Amino acid sequence: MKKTIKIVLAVLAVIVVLLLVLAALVISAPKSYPYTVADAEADAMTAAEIVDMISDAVVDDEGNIPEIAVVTIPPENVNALLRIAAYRLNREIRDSGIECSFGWDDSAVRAEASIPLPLSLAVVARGSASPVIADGVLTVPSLSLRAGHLPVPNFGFVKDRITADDIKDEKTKLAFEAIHDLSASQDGSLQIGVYPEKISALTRLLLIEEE
Amino acid sequence: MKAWNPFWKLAAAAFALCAGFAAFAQDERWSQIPEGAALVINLNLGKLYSSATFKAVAESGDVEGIRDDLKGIPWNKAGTLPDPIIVYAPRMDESYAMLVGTDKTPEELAGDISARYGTKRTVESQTTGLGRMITVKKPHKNRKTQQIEMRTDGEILYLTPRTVAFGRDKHGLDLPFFAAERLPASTFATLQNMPSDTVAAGLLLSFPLPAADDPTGLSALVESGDFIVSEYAPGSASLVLNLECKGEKEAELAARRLKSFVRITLVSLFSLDKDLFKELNSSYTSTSTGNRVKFEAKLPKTSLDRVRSYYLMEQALLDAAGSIADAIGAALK
Repeated sequence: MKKTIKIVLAVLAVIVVLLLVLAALVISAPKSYPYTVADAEADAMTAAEIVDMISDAVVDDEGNIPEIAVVTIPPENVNALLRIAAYRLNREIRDSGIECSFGWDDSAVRAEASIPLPLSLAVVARGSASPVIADGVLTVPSLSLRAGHLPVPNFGFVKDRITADDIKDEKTKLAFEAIHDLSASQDGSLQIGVYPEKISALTRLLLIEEE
Repeated sequence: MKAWNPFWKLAAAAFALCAGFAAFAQDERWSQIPEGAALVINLNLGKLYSSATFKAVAESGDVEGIRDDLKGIPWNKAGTLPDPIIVYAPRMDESYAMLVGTDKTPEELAGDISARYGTKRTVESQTTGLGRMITVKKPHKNRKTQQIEMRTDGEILYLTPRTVAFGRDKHGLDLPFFAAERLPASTFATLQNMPSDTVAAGLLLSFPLPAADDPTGLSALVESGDFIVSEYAPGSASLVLNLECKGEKEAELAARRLKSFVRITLVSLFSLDKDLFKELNSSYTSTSTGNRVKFEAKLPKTSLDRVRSYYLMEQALLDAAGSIADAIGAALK
């Protein structure tokens, strides 16, 4: 009997220690991502350069529209765009206590979120992926997920293969179909090929919905 | 009684002409633009509604809504509809204010509104720190309590004896009657004398979008501007936009950015008709001189007719495509 109790207590102790180690790996102090108005202005200027890049891509030197418009966006511009996106998302979800940060590092999208817990604690979730669109399929090779310091296997949190048929929302579907290809170059730039005619179809859908 | 010396008759006529011109040029509504306003638009409703070119704009929900709101109040003894100056400020959030000219005193206007609506409206008049205010309330059924309550339908604030600020609040917020501080009349010098073919003229007093919400990046480059939309020939339209930027480099960048933004918009709207796109893409210029940008677009009647046909054709195509898709989907079930 005494031996049984000792074994049970030992197992319980191991479980408790494992849980504590798990907690220590996953739970931490909340993380904040400071972003000032000056940062927003600087990033907006950098992100807005993408407008000029798209403009140059959608019309050639003879004033014609190509079948596929190819835009190559340098990493600093992609980074600025993602930081602005995080800033706007944080503004909308301010009341939830969750704070996010997005970025573009080493040809991959990086996302981080500080999710609050009681007692002024939080779980900081991290993910990174290099999205690729080719032949109408979006894949995410090099997908990496972490909760705190703990790597997390992808138990279906993120679909690793998406086609237009998987998208229910008509507008999102049209936007997806307007992309011919998307990938990161070796120098860290993001290259996107789009069909201008399909963008036109999406625009008209949006305009008709407005009416 | 002595007959007037012809010289004095001429002088009197000249004086009256100058006084009339000065009165128009010194339209006091412009000097009443409230602090915090970002964009003000002087709308020539008569021109807008009589022009075939701008028929679609005139019949759009926003402009029709403005006209309906104006028609609801008997502003002038002659019964005419005044041209409003529409005031937009970023914090107004779907509410709006207009500066309107009136030749009635507050007591006359309140009385005429009451006479028009009878028991359908409650009209209250009071003196506030900003001026004499008339509040118009209409009955509204509260869904929760099922009680009828009087909700504010519009507020009229007398800024001067002849100029009122009129606002409607859509969200129960305080109406945008922030301090009605006078701005220098010289600010509006270019817009004081609108040519007769002008449909709308406006001032950009500050960029209305914060940097993080502005995809063009213009908010960091532009300080102020003005624009005029007019019908330079029957069935045609022109837009002239002048921007004052923070410096020469900013002006060069703003000119380029405007061009890029317009080009992308045209591609996204007209890429299925390559010839029409080329025609429209060559109808505008965007240039900078010093710290100023001038954007000019001129669309002749032929181009606008083609745009109208294109849009109608595409809508029919979309409708047809939708019907075919529905039919195929039903057949496959």
